[in-house]
Amino acid sequence: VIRLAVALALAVGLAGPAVAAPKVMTYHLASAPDLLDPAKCSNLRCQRVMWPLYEPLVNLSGDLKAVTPGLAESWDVGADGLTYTFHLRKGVKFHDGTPFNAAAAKINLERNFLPGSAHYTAVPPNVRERQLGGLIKDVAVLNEHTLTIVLKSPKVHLLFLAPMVSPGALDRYGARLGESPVGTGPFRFVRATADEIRLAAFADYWGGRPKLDEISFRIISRSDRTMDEFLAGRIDFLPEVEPVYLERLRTPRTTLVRIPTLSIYYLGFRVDRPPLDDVRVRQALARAIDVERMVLFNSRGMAVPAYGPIPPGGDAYDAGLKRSRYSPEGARRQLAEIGHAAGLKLSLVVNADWGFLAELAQAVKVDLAKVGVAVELVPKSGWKDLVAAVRQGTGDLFIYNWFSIFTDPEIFLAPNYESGSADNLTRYGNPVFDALLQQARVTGDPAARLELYRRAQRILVEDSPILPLFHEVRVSAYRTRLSGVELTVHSQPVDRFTRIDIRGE
Amino acid sequence: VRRLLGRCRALYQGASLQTKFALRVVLSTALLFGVLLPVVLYIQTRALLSAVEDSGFRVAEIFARSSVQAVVADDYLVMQHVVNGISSERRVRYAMLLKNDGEVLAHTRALERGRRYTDPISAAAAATDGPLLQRHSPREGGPVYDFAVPVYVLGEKRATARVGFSIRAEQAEIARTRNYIIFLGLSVLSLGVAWASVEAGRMLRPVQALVRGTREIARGNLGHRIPVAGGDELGQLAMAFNRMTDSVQALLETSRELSSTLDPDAVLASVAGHALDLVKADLAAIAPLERQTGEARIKVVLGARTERLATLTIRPGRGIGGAVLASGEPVISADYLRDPGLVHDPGYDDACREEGIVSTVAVPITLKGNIVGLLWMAHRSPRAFSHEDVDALRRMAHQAAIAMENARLYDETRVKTARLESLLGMSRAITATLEPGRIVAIVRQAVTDLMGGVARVWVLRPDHTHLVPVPDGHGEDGGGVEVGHGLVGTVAATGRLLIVDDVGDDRRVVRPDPVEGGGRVAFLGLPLLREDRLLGVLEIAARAPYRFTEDDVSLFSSFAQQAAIALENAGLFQALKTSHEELITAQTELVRKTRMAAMGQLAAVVAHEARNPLGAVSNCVQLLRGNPHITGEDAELLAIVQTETQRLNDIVSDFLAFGRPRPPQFQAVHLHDVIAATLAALRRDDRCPESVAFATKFDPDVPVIRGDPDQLRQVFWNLFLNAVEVMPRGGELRVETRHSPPRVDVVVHDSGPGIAASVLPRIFEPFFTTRAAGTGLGLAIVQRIVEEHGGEIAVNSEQGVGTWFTLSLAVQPKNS
Repeated sequence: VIRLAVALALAVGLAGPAVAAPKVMTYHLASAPDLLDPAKCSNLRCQRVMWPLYEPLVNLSGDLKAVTPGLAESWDVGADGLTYTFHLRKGVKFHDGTPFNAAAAKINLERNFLPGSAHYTAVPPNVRERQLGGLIKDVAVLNEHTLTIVLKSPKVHLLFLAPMVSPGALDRYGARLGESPVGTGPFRFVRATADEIRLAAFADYWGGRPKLDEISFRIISRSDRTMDEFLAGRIDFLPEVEPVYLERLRTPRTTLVRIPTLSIYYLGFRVDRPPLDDVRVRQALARAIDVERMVLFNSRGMAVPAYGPIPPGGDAYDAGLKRSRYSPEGARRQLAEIGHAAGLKLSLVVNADWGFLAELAQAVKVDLAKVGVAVELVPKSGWKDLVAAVRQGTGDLFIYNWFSIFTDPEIFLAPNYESGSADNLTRYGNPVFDALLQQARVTGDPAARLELYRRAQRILVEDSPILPLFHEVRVSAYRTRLSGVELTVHSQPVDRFTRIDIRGE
Repeated sequence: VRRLLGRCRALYQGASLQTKFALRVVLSTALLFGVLLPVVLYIQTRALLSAVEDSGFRVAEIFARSSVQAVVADDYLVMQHVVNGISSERRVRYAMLLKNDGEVLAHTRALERGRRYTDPISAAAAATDGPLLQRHSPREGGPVYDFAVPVYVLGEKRATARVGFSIRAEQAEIARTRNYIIFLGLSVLSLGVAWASVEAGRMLRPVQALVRGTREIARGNLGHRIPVAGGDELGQLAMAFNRMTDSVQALLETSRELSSTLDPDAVLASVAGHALDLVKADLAAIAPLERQTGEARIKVVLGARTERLATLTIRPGRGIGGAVLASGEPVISADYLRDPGLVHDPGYDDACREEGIVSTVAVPITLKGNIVGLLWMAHRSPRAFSHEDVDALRRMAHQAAIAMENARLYDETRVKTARLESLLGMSRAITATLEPGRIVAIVRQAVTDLMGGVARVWVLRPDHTHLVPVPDGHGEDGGGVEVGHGLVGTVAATGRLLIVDDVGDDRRVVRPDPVEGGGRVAFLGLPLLREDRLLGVLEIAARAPYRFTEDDVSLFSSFAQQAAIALENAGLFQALKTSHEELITAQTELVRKTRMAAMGQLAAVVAHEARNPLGAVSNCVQLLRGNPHITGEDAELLAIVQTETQRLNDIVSDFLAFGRPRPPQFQAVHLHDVIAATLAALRRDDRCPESVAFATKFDPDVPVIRGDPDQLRQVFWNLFLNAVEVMPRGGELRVETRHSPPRVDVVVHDSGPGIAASVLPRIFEPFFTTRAAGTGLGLAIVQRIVEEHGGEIAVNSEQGVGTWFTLSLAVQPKNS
């Protein structure tokens, strides 16, 4: 027995170095993605996993400002701005060996955007229907590698980002494609379990075999365990770090990356009923709240003060917007002038899940108390509950947020403030504002559109249905054994993980 | 519990050594770790928790100091900032600032601000004047150490900084340590068990070989030997075991031979042979001790080159054997010839020198504590015998002792058997012969065979004054002796047995000696008695000095009894002879009677020859009687002829029936029918007077018997005819039957005058008759026929009353 054990140990010892350990990068997910089918799921969880699996015709640059070649090497835009001709990359294959060509691209576009076409998928709902459904007029295959798309209107920004799935896999799996995703990306799907999704390098990737051998998406919901695992070196990449753990991650083996997100957190006023239907009251309250100090003291560096409804990063961001100066005395005086010298009683609905928001609410309460406004806090768990409560009429004040993955100003202006929009929780309504948005939608000239959005922003700040609080800064952390990590605005590795390598610490 | 313990103990005791060894290793390891575990955990727990206490107070202290400015300014944001900073510490579960009344100023969970805590822990924390540690376990998240440090501003307590430290990490650490130790313990345990098993297996292999060997031997495979590996204790044990097995095998074979043979010499030779094998010696000898001389004579020698050893006699005190005889203990001599501790005998030494003997050992053969012989072994090489050898030899010696004892017992038994055989022979002879001389010869032969002595039987003469020897065909008849004189006469006179060990010294001896011509003779005289009647004397004498034992006396007493019986038988035989002669006289009379019967037969022959002419005469007379011409006197004369012819014919018939009896022709016979038919025939006969009445009384149980109906009819005819003829003036003939199994009785009675008592015994004799006209054969014929039917006939008669004939007939005659 001893001899056998020695022999075994020797064999293992000798064989060990001969077999190079595969390079596996581990990536944290707080919860499992719903479905790995780009037509069915577009939330961040899905996108994080789909990022290395699928590619669209074109990409956005890391700062989201430039459109760069993807599966289309180049494209021509017709004089009308509605006809696009894409010249597709040659020699591209899906993970299942199906060649990528114009026909495959057409199928994917139809699947996503053309209701009534053979491949259009509605059940479960197509995620793009609301945003872009019916935008495409026609898709035509000119030849194997050339594709023409005719649009109904020049709203182009999202269209070509639709990830391409293998037509062969569509035939094979149909509605269950999401369980066996097949794309053209640098990594192919291996398996999915309750706590892990594993991808492996796609050897035939058109851009060359990636440096990593495998990516392991580890699904851990408990943040303290996530932190332990990361600190123990069993997770390489944390796309999102909770503020409370930031201090602990300041170690030599960890690199922290702060990326401002396309987000706005604001204090919303119910403008549809007294006392906040009076813009002067809203302006007085805004003067009484020291937003900068709150963000400065308590955001832990994960927020920057906001002054307008649109986050920095896009062309529509207006750096010239200012808020009224913090002045409790001025505010009190103003309230007295309006007739609220005796003070006010307001309620504030807050999502208590994130401590920072609770602290903000407390700070608002403290600040308003100084001007004679008593605030009662109404904590809610999660955004869904908060939205439901506010829609039902709970609270005079609420802290809410809005996110986008694109810099398009439309997304930050229309849903929250346009009259009659479902997400317009403040019940703000201004025909001038609405008209400006509508005008911008149909304006082809980008500069003219930007000007329209600037005017709309100024009107919104003037009307003060909200008090902009902050833009969130997302912090990602990765172990320094990873090299080639460069992140997009959404904290995704640029070039879909292909630049990342494991070099050791 | 006690029963369980007992069971465990029983299980443990029944387990193999290997299991026990492993079990002990397991137990000691488990014990070690059982002690180690709590100690290590205790130390670790104390170290970890005191570290938590230290850092907890430090953090709470920092918290309190950092909060002073914010508390003074009542700046919520700064307070929350500080709380957040404290909360970001890894183990901090919560941090809060409490006002003195328990109201929350800032809390890790911001929404807690404004609440007032009244629970005891919070109250104690809010009220404390100095650092305070409270331990508690909230509903979730595990146990917490709650540190509270007051916030002082200018000596006044304004708030309390309170921090909850989770000790889950410490508990996990302690649990991990515990698991490590348990894992380590289990590893050590399993390694220990494996090691113990392997090691125990290795160490126990020889033991198991021993156990196997024991089992083999227990199973009877004495040829099994254990391989000896190494010279350690186990090797020595194996060697000792093998030697023991050799010894057991030798003993077993010896005892087997002991039980299979009764030849003591063969057994001794076998014992010596096994002893030789057992100790690997060159020579072996066994010398039984002779009790009379106290010396031991070598009886068996194995391995000797010369004949010399076989002739040696070992005397006590001389040589090694003598030393053993003297001391009763085994003696070892590594170099016999040069051993100064022994008394050397030139004879022994020479013999040893011739054989080339160097080393010897002698062991006593003892039985019930007595030395009965010697077992002696020798090497021709200078190889000393060990004490183990001596032990083995002692066991063999014990076997030898048993063999010798067996042989002695066998010898004794053999003598006894011989005695019994001679006694038996004598009894047989006495029942087979009536000649006193022959009996004496047998006694004499037996005595010679058993003790080499002589025997003589003296008979008392009828005058009771002298005894004479019974001649047995071997001479030495000599003359008689007078009763009361000499040894034999003394025996006869006293009627008691007499033993004389030395005849030469006895004054009762009559000179010259009647038995032998002088010399030393032992004498045993036994009276021959038959129902206290002296018939003679049995004299037994030894030619050499001899001591008569009790066994001898009892045996010869038996002889004497037999001889007495024989003598008496002889006397009775003489008497028998006399009566035999009387018998012959009687026989002569019988012959005479037989001769008469022959005459009867002769008469029958004559009657037969006379019958035919008689028949012709009778026929002629019948014809003449029918002739009408014969009348008058002629007719009377013819009637006379006819009557006389009839009479003659009857006579001739009787003669024929008697003289020429024919054997009965047996067949089924209804006795009553025969009787009735006979009576009917009688009634028609002229000789039957009318005045005689017939009466019958038949037993209905009388069965059909086997008999000859004609002959039976003859019997009844003769009886009935006799009966009616004695009643010429009337009377009664009465016939009765009676079934008395297995016979049938028939009684025939007449009321005639009866038969005279003097005549009655002879009525069945042939030719005896009281009537002038009778042939005297009727009843004789009746008697013969009845006897031929296996029956009997008896007669009773009373004067004036009548006569009864009683027939007793067998239902199933033997010769039928």
